[in-house]
Amino acid sequence: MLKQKKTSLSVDIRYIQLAFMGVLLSYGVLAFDLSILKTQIILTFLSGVLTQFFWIKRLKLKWSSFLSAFITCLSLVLLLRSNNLWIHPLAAFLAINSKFFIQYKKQHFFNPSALGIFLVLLLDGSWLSPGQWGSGVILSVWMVAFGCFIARRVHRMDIAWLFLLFYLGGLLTRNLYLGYEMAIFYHATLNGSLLLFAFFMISDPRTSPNHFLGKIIFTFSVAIITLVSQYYFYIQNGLIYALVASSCFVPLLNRTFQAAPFQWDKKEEGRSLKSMIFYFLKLKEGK
Amino acid sequence: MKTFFIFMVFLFFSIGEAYGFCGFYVAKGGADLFNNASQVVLVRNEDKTVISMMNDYEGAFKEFALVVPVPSVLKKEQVNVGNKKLFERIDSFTAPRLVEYFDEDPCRPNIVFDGMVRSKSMSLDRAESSPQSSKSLGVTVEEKFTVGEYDIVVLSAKESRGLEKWLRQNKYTMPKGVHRALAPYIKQKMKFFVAKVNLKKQAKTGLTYLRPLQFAFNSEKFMLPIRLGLINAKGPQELFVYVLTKKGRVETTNYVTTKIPTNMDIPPYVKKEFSDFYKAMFEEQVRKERMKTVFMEYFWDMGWCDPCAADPLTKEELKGLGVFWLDQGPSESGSPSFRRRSRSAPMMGGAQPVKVTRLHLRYTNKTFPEDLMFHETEDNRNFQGRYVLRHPWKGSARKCEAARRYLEHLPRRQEKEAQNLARLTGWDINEIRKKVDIAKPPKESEDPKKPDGKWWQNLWK
Repeated sequence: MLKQKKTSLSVDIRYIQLAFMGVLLSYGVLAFDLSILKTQIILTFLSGVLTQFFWIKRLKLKWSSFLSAFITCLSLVLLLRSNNLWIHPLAAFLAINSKFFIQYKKQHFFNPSALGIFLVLLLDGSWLSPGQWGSGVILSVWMVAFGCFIARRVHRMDIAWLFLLFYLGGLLTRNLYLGYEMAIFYHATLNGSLLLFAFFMISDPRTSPNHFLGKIIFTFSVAIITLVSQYYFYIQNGLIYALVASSCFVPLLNRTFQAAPFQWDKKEEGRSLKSMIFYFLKLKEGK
Repeated sequence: MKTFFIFMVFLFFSIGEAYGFCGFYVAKGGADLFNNASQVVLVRNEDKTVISMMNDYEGAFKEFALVVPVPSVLKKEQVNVGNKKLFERIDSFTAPRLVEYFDEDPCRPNIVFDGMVRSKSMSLDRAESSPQSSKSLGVTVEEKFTVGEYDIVVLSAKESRGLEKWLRQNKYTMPKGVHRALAPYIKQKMKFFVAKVNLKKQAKTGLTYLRPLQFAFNSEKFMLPIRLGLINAKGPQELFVYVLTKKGRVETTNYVTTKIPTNMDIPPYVKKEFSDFYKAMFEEQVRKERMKTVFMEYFWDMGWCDPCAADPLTKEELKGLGVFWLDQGPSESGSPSFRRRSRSAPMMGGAQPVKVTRLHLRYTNKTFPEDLMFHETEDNRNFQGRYVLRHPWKGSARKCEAARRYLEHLPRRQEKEAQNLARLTGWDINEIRKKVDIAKPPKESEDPKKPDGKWWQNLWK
């Protein structure tokens, strides 16, 4: 059934992801006062594009691999905050290089932006702002809707929902045990940063396990590490730490529970914007 | 009856309607602008925390009581009675400010900078009690001492109903359902700090108000519980949090922290109504954000300011507010306990390893269901709420060509200022225009090139 859908709209899903993240960034800068400078945004992309360009040339990769680099850069700009101009480009540099340096069976297993963020958080001058998206219903609905659309296309919607199930389940248990009002739970559920993480980071098809059992163990691990670090050790940024820590075991999970790895659909991959527009025009004409 | 909790929750109990908010404050000195407001100074470095809390309690002192859930049993040396004036100082230092400029004579450029007007915030809440002790309710009196005008007991409780009963038996009038709100704190093994006024000691101070209470303790949690204060709050509450840290700006992690609009040109008449402006502006921002946002009104190094709404706080004053890292004196590595004021000389300006973040929020339990969780960022970009008044130059368009151009442009500028003001405050633009008295553009006859409209008069000059 999925295959049929693909043939009816064969565009590289990463374009849509990029567009959504771009809109989110603009909206965030305009409406949420994201404390990010234009220069930081430019330098992130400059660093990301140059690094990716180097690897494209060296390994003779497809030009469409730029799309992933753009997504990494956008994720960094959406999440990472810094008081200087070098943290963002450094994070982009580290994130994209990590794809080529840290591999298991020629496959990277760390989410590049999560690892980039994790590494620069070890340095002075960087931080994350988990409260920056608030807990608004409308924004959350949009995030879930687009997130589902994209995650489904890359067959990773189960990861997003499994993670939310475990994380929110854990949170609900804690809140019920402590006797907190349900409003607190709803407030946490609608947190924009959490949804962004669930649908745009942990559900990255290339770095999450392929087998369903692997996905369950992986998402459970991320959820538990996040909850423990947040509510027991009072560590900020638990989500990123949990994802990086859990990603270490993805190669093992993939070996234990074998399933076909995700490949960007050859038909879809790298389909250019021009061909997409052409495709839509053809659709309109009813051809 | 009202209840209000802060930090590990300060809880005030009040009796009857007598102390209901009267709806307005009469300005005195620095005007108290916001009703139902509290001010908290939160000093934090690593896990060392000092919280100073001030309320504008105006009822009978014997009816005052305060219940504060705290992370551990507090000993006498961890509690201090602070100085109300220091709250006024930090409030005025961080308050939004007006900056005044006088337009220069366009024919002879020259800028004059004037001072600024400042605004204020304030707080109010109330309480009652008279404690006795009773066991078998699972309540243990861990500590009992007097600090300044306050009699204090520190309680630990096994379960919330027991604590509620204990408090009732000891004549603390409790709002209904308070045990449900207390339960999560008991389950997290927190203790309860209960204070009431010792009338004799209070009389000795000769003061007509209650001084702020300060606590010093270690806690991994960087938070300010506001949840319980809303149990029976009537309407939204107002809270100012001044966070003093070493590294950088502080923001909330579970709510959006937004900067208030700043650096806007507004009509000069606002100088006379700055308090109204600040209040209306804040209300408008709260409305726009549907009361779901924490506003940052100021972030700056404590050592200097530009322009200054008040002098920077001296080292002595900062220590009074609980800043414990200013000297390498014999401060304990464990908990930052209070000591008598040292003799350090007042230090105006100069580098101080202290940053201040002023956060301001209006909240109800619907819009802020969860306690405020904070984190210290490494952001060092200064921020202040700053509003600019530009007094127009008063002169004739005939003086020179630049003057004519200036006066031609002036009405447009004034219109823009009026629109800024309307947008910021939600005030009626037509009312603003009336007050602004927008200048009329110079007539053609006032063109210096065409005196009296006769073009040839300048021809052979």
